Formats: sequence, C-alpha cells, structure tokens
Amino acid sequence: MKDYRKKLATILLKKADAEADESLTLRNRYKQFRISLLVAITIIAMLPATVISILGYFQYMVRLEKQELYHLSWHLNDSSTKLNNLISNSLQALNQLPNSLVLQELAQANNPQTDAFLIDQNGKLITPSLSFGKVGNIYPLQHKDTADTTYAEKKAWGSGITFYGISPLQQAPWSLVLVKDGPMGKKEWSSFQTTLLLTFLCCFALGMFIIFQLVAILTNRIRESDSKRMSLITEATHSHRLATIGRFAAGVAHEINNPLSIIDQKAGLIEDLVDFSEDFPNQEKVSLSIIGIHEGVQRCKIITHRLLGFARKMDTRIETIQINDLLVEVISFLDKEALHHQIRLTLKLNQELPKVESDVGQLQQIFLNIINNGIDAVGLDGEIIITSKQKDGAHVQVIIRDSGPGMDPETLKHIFDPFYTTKLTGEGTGLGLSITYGLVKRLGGTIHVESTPGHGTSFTITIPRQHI
Amino acid sequence: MDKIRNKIKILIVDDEVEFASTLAERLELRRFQATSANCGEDALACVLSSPPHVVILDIEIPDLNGYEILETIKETNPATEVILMTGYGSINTGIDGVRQGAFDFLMKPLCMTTLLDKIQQAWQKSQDYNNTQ
Repeated sequence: MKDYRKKLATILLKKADAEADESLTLRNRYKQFRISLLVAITIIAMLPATVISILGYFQYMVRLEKQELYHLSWHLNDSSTKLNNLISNSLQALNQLPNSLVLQELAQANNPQTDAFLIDQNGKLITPSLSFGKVGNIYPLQHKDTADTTYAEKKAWGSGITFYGISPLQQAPWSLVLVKDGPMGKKEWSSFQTTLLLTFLCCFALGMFIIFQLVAILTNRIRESDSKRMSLITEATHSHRLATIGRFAAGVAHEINNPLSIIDQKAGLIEDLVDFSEDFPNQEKVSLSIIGIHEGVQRCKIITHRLLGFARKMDTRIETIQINDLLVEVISFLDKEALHHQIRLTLKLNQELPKVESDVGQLQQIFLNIINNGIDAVGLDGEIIITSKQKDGAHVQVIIRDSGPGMDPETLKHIFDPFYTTKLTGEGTGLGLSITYGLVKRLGGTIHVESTPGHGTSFTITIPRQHI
Repeated sequence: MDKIRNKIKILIVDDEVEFASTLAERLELRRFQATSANCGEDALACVLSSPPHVVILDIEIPDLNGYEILETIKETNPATEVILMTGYGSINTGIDGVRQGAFDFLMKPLCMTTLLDKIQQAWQKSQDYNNTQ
C-alpha cells in the first residue's frame, strides 16, 4: 500500500514538473521572441539613423572646409591686391613692407586669427610669422608652383589641419602667405561635436524606449491572441469530443434497446403465465420478482432514451417542437443545482404557445447557458422566472429573469463579447453568452438583455416560428 | 372485449425472433389471433394470405424499409391498421410514419397496457373503415 502511494506521489510530482517545464519553455519562447524582435527593430530603425548621422557629420565637415578655403582664397586675393596697390603707390612701401605690423594689420583687418607673412623665392621668411617664427627661418611647406599662381590648400601641420594660402606679389620677388587654423581645431567645432553626440544619444535612448515599449505591446498582443486561439481550440476539441461521445452513446443505447425489449417481453410472458394459471406455486413471489424485472427494464429504458435524445441534439436538425416541453426538460437538468443553491426555478408557460420549427439541441444549449448564468449570478437564495409567450404570429418569446445583483451599463455593453467574463479566472471562459448569442442568430432569432444593478437581469429570446 | 378479442387478427413484424414470438404468445394468452414474421417478405406474404386487422411493425427491418412495408400494406389492405415501433427512440420517426398512414407509434421497450389500448383503438378504426365501405 505504501509502495502504491509512493508511486502515485512520484507520478504526480513528475506530472507537475512536466507542466512547470512546459510553461517555462513557453515563457522562454516568448522571451526569445521578444529579444529577437527587439534586435530586429533596433537594427532596422537605428542602423540607417546612425549611418545618416555619420554621413551628415562628414559631409558637414567637408562643406565647412570648402567654405574655409573659399574664404581664405578671397582673403588672400584681397590682401595681395591691397599690398600690390600699396607698393605701386610708393616704392617706400616696399622697404616698409617687411615691417610685420603692416602685414598683421592687413591680415587681421580681415580675420583676427589669420597669420600673414612674406617669403622670398627661396622660401625664407621676410617677415616674422606666428606659426613659423622669426625672419630668416625657412618656410617648411612645399606648395605647387608658387611662381605666379594664387591658391589656397589644406595641409596637415602639427596637431591639426591648417589652411594655407599663397600669392606671389607682382611688384616684388616675394609671396604673401596666409595661414589659418582649420575649423576642426576651433571651439565651435568641438561644441558642435558635443551637441551632435548628445542629440544622437538622446534620440537613441528615446528610440530604444519606444522600440522597447512597442515590442512589449506586440509580444503581449501575440501572447493574448495565442492564448485565445488555444482556448478556442480547446473549446472546439471539447465539443467535438462531446459529439463523438454522444454518437457512441446513441449506438450503445440503440443496441441495448433490442435485448432490453426481449427481456421485457420474456418477463411479461412469465408474468402472464403466472397470472393466467390458477394454482401456480409461489405465485406471489414470482409476481414480485417480475415486477422487479419490469422496474429494472423501465430504468434502463429511461437511460437509453435519454442517451438517444442527447445524441440527436449534437447534430443540427430542424424539428417541430414545443418550446414549453423543451423548457421543462432543461429545468429538469438544472433543478438539482438550483436546489443546492436554494434558488427557485419558476416556469410561467403559456399553454397555448404554438409549436416552432427549430433545432432542439441548439435551443436547449441557449436556455441551459442563460439559466446556468442566472444561477451563477444569483449565487444563493433567489429566484429565476422563466416565461414563455407568443410575441406575434411569427415569433415566440422566452424571458428568463433572475433576482441576481444585476449588471452595470459597462458590463452590459460587453456581455456578448467573446472572452468577456466577470467570473474569477478559471471559473468562466467568457464564451458561454457569446456562443449563446451566435446560436440565437443562427436560428434566426434575437436576444435582448436588460439589467439594473441591484434589480436582477432579464434575457429575452425571440425565436421565429418558421426556420429560415 | 374478451369475446371480440378472438376475432382480432394481429401480425407482429420484428427481426428479433424472440421478441416477436414472445409478444405473439402474450397476445395469444389474451385471446388475440396473433402471428409473427421476422422479415419484410414474410410479413407481406402473411398480409396477402390472411389479412390481419392490426400489424405491429418494427421500422428497422433488415430486408425491407419499414415505411415501404407500411405503404404496401395500406395499398393492398386499407382496412388493416399499422402500429409502428422502434428502438431508436425518435419521436420524428413516429410522426413521419403517422403521416404515411400508420395508426400510431410506440417506443421499445413496449408497455403492455398501452399496446392493448392501441390495438383496441386500431381494431375499432379498422371496423369503422369496413363498415363505411
């Protein structure tokens, strides 16, 4: 006995472990999906943004340099023209020219950060330079043919990029050289870089936040839709299984009915023989036994007929039916449960209700669902009144009113929505009333619900007398 | 009633031999003239050779459809009344049968009292038909 218990405990533990593993695998699958989605969206959204930013950064740099070179060229032309003019006006000026102050003034009149100086044909400094030192130093850089061309170019010098402009003077064997730091070495450029980087980081963070939220929403939606699909599949499998059981039961019931009839007839014959003979020994005992057999047969008959009835309800089949009889049958299914909850089920049937052409099984499911819902709503100690009446020549109506707590308008609005439930998780699928709604529509009828909080709920189902 | 009973000829048609013969025996004990047939052909042969007043007919007969037998009986002997029975337990089967001319419909297992009532009523109807002709 102990071994058996141990085995049972092991099996149960294994089952629980397997279920836990399954849910863990499922959770991991969603986690992996979320990460993949996150990476994919990040790459799709962020990669182009980053590439565009970098391209923009370099293009802007090139443009700035071009602009700088253009300014330097213009400045150089302007300065050399001024110097040439100065020399042509007075030869005295030629002697004064190496005086750097004149040059510095000239250069700084255009741009305070520009270094301006003169070099001779051998590259010796004629005037002192801020960048290359005193007079007599050799100008270290080689340019293209400097004999008669004015031009500006970018060259790497020292730690950064510097722009040089060189222009030979017409009146003297010297060349004017302008030296200017590149825009990248300036404060403005580094502040631009900082701003760009900060903006990029902020956008990246914001983008990541949005992507993260989006992925979370998407994953949750997918998880919800997966679980809805799963419960629908479960529901469908359940009804399919019920239908299969129903058909199987019908087959069994049918097969049992014939031998049952033979038993009944044979017992009846014995009963007849006993009753018709005047001095049958133990007549009373035999009669009692026969009555016992008849009662047994009767019970089996009720069971087989109920099974046959159940199976027929699984298929859609339009029959001429009396709704009152159907309601009585439905109530007989539920009266035990109602009694258990101390709920009175009251039938107020219109005895002159005309018959309808409809599907018994589906109508039965409709009434069962609504009355069941009523029992759940009332909870304990209350009443459910079921009324049948003729609405007009073409329709009959069944009104199911419960004395439950009623519903607020918000709940009422969603009452027929699939998966909408006010019951605790696991107690209701939220499909009962939605299926009921679908069934009523399929039968060409309408369903209407009225409810006031604290005053119960009333469902009115209208069924056409002729099936459409 | 007992005096009349021995004039009433009843045919029981059911493929379950034991059921048909036992029911026939029980009806004979009640002084009816009861015979049984276990297939459609035998049943029709019996009807033609010695037309019964009442036929108790199972709808599910292997060789011939119950409704066809009913139709043939009503065509050849309009005075013969047919009581249908089935083990399949559907009221619709009975309704269809009555529409096609059956007197009434009973579900297996049969209740003897009900059956006797139905036989009497059917015989009465059969007599009425003969009188009007």
